[in-house]
Amino acid sequence: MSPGMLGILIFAGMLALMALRTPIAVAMFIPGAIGYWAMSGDLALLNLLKGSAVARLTVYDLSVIPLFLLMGQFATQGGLSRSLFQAGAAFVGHIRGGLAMAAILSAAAFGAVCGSSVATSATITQVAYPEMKAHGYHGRLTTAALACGGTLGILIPPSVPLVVYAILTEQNIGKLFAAAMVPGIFATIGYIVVISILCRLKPELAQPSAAVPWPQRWQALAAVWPIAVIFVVVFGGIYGGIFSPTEGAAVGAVGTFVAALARRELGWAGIQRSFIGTAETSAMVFMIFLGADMMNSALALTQMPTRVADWVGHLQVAPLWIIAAIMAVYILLGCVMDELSMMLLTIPVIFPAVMSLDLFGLQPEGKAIWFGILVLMTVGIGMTMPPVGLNVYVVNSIARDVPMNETYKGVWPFLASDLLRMLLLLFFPSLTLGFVALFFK
Amino acid sequence: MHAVFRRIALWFALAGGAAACAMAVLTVVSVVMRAAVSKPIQGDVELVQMGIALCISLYLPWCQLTRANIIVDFFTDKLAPRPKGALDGIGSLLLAVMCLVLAARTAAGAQAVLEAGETTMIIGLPMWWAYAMLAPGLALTALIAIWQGLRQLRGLDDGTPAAAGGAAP
Repeated sequence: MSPGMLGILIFAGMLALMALRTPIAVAMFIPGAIGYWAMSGDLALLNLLKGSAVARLTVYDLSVIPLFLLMGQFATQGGLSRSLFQAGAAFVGHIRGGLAMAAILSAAAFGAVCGSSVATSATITQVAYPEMKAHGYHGRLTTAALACGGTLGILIPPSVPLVVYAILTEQNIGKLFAAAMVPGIFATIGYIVVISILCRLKPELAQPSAAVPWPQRWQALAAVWPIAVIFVVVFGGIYGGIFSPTEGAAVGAVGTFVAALARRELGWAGIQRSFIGTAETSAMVFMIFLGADMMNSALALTQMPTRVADWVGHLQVAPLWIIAAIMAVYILLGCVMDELSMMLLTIPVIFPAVMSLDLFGLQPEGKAIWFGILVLMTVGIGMTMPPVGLNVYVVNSIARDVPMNETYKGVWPFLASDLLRMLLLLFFPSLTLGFVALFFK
Repeated sequence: MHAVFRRIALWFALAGGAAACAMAVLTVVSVVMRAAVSKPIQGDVELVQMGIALCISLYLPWCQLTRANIIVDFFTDKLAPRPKGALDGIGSLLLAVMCLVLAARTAAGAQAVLEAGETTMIIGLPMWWAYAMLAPGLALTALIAIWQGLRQLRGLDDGTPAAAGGAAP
């Protein structure tokens, strides 16, 4: 059998296993191992497996994943999300749709200490949903805003998918975090604009609440200063080259732990929940890594990535169209697949092809960073887009009186703003790279 | 049986959390010492590398026990509980195969590295530690997955896999 044929078989086997409910990590590992064995024999496979798990699990840069997850968990269990929402509501609650805007703002702020969009959705929903319901906000607007606001958890650094991208493509994690800043702020503004337009078109969606007097506003704002300090120290330190991303994550985890303790809301039970939450997500991510490593070793033997790069490089199509097509495929894949696995699976194949294209005359590093942020945008879209959208599930598991279909109807205007932002970033790489250039010379 | 697995996996996960905290504190102390007396802790990077292997190994059993290992639900959503459970059972058993293979090979790797006497560059930690730390987590995960898989095949387990809460990025 030719290597190309075998590569296709391996890929097909993986897709079949995935469709039949095999855990994604396993669906990648087993066909990968069989393919590797078919091409290079049992000795080579046994030898590879001797060190492959250790090689993946002792990567220094990957330690940012459990550390940032731990930081987000401490923030969640310590009740920091509640102060954030209260501060947001104190400032914008009296505007029509203001509580939904406050939810978006607090999700953005929470995203600054949390690298997971599911965790952000869950924690903000817990504090914001009861308030919005009590103020007569329409279910569709409420849940859609919370599900989409949750994606700010990954759009604003730290971001687990971005760390995964950085490791896969051997790019600088700090630079990718810096590149995500402006797009993250755009996303926040975009969602707020969407809420404001929706409420203007249909005033019955949300009732404005009474304005909070200024002294109380400052008081509410004062309660969130630890988060601002942590964010500035962690990312200032990383961007300024004072410490590595791992060191930043460690400082963030310890700082958030202290801030949560100081609020007297984090007890032993909360610490346990933080540990367990970190365990679940970290293990899931690394399991997929182990599976994807096996799959990618096998695919590399079939030379599929080189062939794809070669084929894409010789396409008679404008490079920007190719990128747009890749984004479209990612959005479609995200409809049926988990986004992290999608990245682990496709980036090793697609990335060399992207790097071989001439895009705005960008340097390789700039191109890699810009493309990474575009991929991150598709991950965000995949978290909320029908028919799957993990964030929608999470929000609706808390806001049980809103039917899931209502949420899916409600997310479309937000998705439109996602798409608009993606086009902007696609055509203007400087929006992404400008902030990076500011810090990294 | 579930209670036993649950207790062990929970202790593993909590120990992993403690290890992650230790890693964080070690790193912060090292950063502070570097800033204050420009003397970071010797070999902090190597300790973190070992630490992360330990953490993840300790996290794996809990992840499988709560079925946080993500699956694609999309194509089989409408299936009856019985065939769904059977597919989940096969999935769990395949996961056990993956973990057993990795555990066995990593243990063999530990043996080889021990014999070669490899150590880390700066503070000379024995490299076989990193290998040896992975085996227990992988082995326990495999055991849990076998137990779950057999129950799912017999239609005894109707839990929902990949509970969305908490897991996933």
